[in-house]
Amino acid sequence: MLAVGLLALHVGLSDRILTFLRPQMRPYLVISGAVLAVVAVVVLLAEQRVASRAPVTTRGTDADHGGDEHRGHDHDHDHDRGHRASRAGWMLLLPMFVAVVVAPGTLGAWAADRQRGVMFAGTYDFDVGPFLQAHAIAGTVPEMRLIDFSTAAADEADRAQLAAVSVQLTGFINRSDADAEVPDEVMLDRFIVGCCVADAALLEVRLSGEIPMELESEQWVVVTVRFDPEASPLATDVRRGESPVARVESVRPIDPPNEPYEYLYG
Amino acid sequence: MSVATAIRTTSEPRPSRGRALLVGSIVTFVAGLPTFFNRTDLPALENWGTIHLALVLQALPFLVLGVVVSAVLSTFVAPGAMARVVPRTTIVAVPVAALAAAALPGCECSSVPVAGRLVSRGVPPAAALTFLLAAPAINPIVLIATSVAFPGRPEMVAARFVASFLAATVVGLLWSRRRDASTLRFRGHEHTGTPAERFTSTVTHDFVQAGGFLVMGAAIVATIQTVVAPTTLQRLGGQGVVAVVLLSLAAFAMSLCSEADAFVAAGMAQFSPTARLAFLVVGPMVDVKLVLMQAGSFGRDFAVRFAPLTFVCAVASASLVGWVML
Repeated sequence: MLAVGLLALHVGLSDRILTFLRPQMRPYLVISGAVLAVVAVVVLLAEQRVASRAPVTTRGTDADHGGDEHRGHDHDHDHDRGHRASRAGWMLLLPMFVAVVVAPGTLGAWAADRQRGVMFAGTYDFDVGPFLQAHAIAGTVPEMRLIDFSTAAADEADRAQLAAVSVQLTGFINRSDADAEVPDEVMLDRFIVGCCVADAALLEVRLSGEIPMELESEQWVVVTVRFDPEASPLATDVRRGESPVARVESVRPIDPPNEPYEYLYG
Repeated sequence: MSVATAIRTTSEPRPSRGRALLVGSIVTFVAGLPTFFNRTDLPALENWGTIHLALVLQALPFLVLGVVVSAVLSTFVAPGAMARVVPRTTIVAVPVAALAAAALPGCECSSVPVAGRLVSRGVPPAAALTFLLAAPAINPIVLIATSVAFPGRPEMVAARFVASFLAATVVGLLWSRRRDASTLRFRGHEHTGTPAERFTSTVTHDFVQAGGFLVMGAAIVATIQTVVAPTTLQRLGGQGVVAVVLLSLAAFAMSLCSEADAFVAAGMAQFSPTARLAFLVVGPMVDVKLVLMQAGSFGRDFAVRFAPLTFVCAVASASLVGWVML
């Protein structure tokens, strides 16, 4: 339990949380990690006191188990229960094992390839008009989230406005394999997360035009693109898994961002 | 694999050989995954690890909340005391429990330990189980998330509320008619000592118990999500009853958090509204993660009987409500 608490604290206090959860979860994760760690320490200390006062002779094997917090209060319960609980409790070590041995990273091109065809196609509410207007007044190149871009691109009324300007998108490059149906297609991918990455959905823009060959899959980039309405599907086709097309004007490689996903809720 | 051997050595005084075998095989299976994937597909393993950790970390705050509430009940409410405040007849207590559940903005992971503790404090099991089912499905946060995911479709939110409420109530009432209904025992036990000691040992015990099963559930869900291609559902498609059953099974296997499932359902535009409603009603009530946690808190025999009943009631309720309202 102490270990789980510490893992939660470690993940919660570092940016690794952004690999797994949406940022709003951070305070809750930190608090729960702290609660677990404190309670675990209190229980362990209490056990030490009990153990030093009356050495437990009947449960010799438990000494080998290290930090199993069940040792302490087993003395006033039937052994059966304590053992059943602690056996399930050992499973708690698995996340630690996974974190250290597997060291999982953010979802990337592999996950994207598997999700192609089930792209996010919800009825997300986004009105591109006012957004672009604000940038036109300020004279800046609009930076758009992929979710906003895709939504506007699929909307019959919004797509003309979107096609009228160049916009900046952030995501990672995903090249199709040489033996794919259409070889050398280049996608700009990013996942959108509702609650945690278990519900992540793929956002994808098909890039046309010149993309330097040295940009490999999973290289994060900021691209300036112009939406291509002729080649892009409307909402009905998006539901069949087709993604919008954009002509690349410039590409700038960047380091992987702190927040690798887009988020559905604020 | 050190984790696996550690488990085996601790299980030497087998009170129940079957359970040890089950846990052992799951652990071996999970521990074996890395070796399997290392040889075949490294990204798959990484994907599995990411989803596994995400599920555990996401559930952790809710589980801790549930455990702490449970420990507070355990420390400050005498056993059986709740029997006095709960309506005496089951037929009233069950719907009341469902409504009370609407006020707890928790996820499914917090409601398991809380419901268990309610039973030990004198709440009729049927009412506690209704609470367990209703809490994650119809609380305000989930309903707001649903309305965000389905803009301009308030009937979806209403249908979700009605169908979940109906299913939770029906399951509660059916369960109360079982002959062994009152024998349900929460596998947490009473601790002695000062209030502070009672509090910490209850937190510890409940957390280790439910948490261990949560980790197992997360491992299984991550495996399903990694092995089954996300496009499978799209390919299978289906209409009418087939679609309803398909999405219900998907909800069971995917074990999404009830705050996030609405937006996944919103994306499944090729399925009928009723099928998507079934996805939203089944998911929070019965899924892989939840069944394992229930097995941990109430025993495997309970989970084996309770899960199918819940599944059938949830699907039936969603179909009925979807047919009437959508």
